Amino acid sequence: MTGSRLLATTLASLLILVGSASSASGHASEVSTMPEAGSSVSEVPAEVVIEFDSPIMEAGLAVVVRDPRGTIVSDSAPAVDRNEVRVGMLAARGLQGVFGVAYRVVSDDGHAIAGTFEFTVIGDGTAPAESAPVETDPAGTDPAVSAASESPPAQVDVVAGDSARVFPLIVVGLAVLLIVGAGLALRWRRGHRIR
Amino acid sequence: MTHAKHDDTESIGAGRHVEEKGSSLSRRGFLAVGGSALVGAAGGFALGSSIGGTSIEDPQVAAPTSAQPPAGVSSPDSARHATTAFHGEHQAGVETPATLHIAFVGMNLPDASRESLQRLLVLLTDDAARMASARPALGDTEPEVAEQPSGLTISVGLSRRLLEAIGAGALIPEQLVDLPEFSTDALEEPWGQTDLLLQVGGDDALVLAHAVRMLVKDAATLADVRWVQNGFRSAAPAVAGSGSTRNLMGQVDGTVNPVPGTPGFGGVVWIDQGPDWITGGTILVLRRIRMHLDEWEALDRSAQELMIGRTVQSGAPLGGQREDDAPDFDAVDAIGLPVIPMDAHIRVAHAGSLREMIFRRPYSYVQERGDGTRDSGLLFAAYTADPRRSFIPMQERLAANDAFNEWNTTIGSAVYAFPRGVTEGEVWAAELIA
Repeated sequence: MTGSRLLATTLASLLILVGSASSASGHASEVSTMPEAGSSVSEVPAEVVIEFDSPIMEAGLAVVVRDPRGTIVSDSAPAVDRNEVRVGMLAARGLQGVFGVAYRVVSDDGHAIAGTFEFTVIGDGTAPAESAPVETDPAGTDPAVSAASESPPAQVDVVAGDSARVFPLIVVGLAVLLIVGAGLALRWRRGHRIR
Repeated sequence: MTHAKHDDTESIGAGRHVEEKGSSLSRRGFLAVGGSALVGAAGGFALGSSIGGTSIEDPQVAAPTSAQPPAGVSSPDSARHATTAFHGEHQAGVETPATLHIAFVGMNLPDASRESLQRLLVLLTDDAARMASARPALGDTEPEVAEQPSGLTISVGLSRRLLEAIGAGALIPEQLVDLPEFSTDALEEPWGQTDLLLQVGGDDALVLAHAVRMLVKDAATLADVRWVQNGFRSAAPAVAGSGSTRNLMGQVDGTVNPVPGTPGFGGVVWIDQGPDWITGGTILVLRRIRMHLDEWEALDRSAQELMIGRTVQSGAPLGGQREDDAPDFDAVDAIGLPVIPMDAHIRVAHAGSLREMIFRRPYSYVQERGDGTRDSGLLFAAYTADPRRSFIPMQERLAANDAFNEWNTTIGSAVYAFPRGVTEGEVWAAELIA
């Protein structure tokens, strides 16, 4: 095989690997939530909504919202409407602090995903705070103030191993090996060409 | 035609017994003398058979093992000659080891009268007793096939509507109820209720096919076949030491099931109160369940396991280690969600007490449709002393909440009362048809 053809083959192999890596990790992911992850709201919402980038199936649906004390304050019947999953909140008036949401869903194309996010209820600033520290707006009772601390949503694949995170690393590693190997082969050929 | 003679066989494994062929009086000879006595005279038949009959029976008790290995694991030669005792307190085919193959034959009686049913049961009991004992049925043109019965079991079930039709309303056991319509059912013809059922099981598919043919032939003037549901099981246990096998979804199927031979089994399965003909019997709920395998196989394994509530590889409940670990329905994972989802099959199906349990004996089926596609699924046979407190409440819960419903549809449903076992010469449901 000539040097240039060897290089072409190496590049082609790289493309195949990269292509397969992206398809292996392509599945539904969380797009947005309401309340927004990491945001502050003035009162406990009536429901929590999570929007995904693909339709979600009803089977296997789980969404749980916990108040700052760790008590579950969501109802037991989350519902799905195409890409949106929502759960109603039981009465949790007067509570302030960090609320945690955990979800586990299966997309219509068969992938199980789970994730968590938080939002903070800051109230109107007059009610006593619950266990977690409360962010207050110095201007007074401004609703829906964006949080100073952004805690981005944590999303994990519901897979026994972390294969979806490791696989891209393996691809990169193999690509490096291929490039190095091709380079070495070219040098070897130049060095050992039969004259 | 003479009886096919065969040697005594050794007991093989749980449920296989020695049948000593002792009768030198052929039934054909008896019939020649008093053939008319056969009709409408169960007592006459019994008298005839008791002359010269010296069969020795062991009580039909399976060895108390914690897990029954699938049938057919002994040597090929002994397995072929193995018999499962036909006579006993209970009909064979329930507590006896699961055979590799099964045929459920649904039959209707054009003339549903007591006399007609009596004639039919006399014939069928005799055929069944012979074939299960490695002897050909009368008039069998392939007697060689009968010589190696491979654990053949032949059992009968009667429907509520047949009992009503023959005027035996007073003898209908209260446990024999019609199932309510379940919201998830999508019942298709022809797999519905029939008057009568023959359940034929065996480890050799050819022997089984021959037995079915023989029974159907003999019944032909009295009953038509509406459907035959053929099923098979894997010979291999799902995991080493398990009593469960895998189904077509690859799942370990059969966990949390009463163990044959244990006292708990009897309490779940055998009826102990009611008319004489049914005490020592059971109720069979037979459901034909289509699997949506294309859609199921599109789920990733984690998703599949969430829907069932068990891992696929070992059958352990999620959060557990082994197949026989008790599911922990209260366990919560690292992000605060139930380890076993609220709509997982094993959670929704879970029986709260022994009296709510059923004995499941599922078989797989594959049915070609004739257009190049096929229908695959489960013949779900559930034996229970009282479906009102076991199967029906469980199925109501499943219909309402089971995540697994997406990938399974029940397309056939029927319920039968299995009469008690019979002694040598007795006819099935003798008290009912006398």
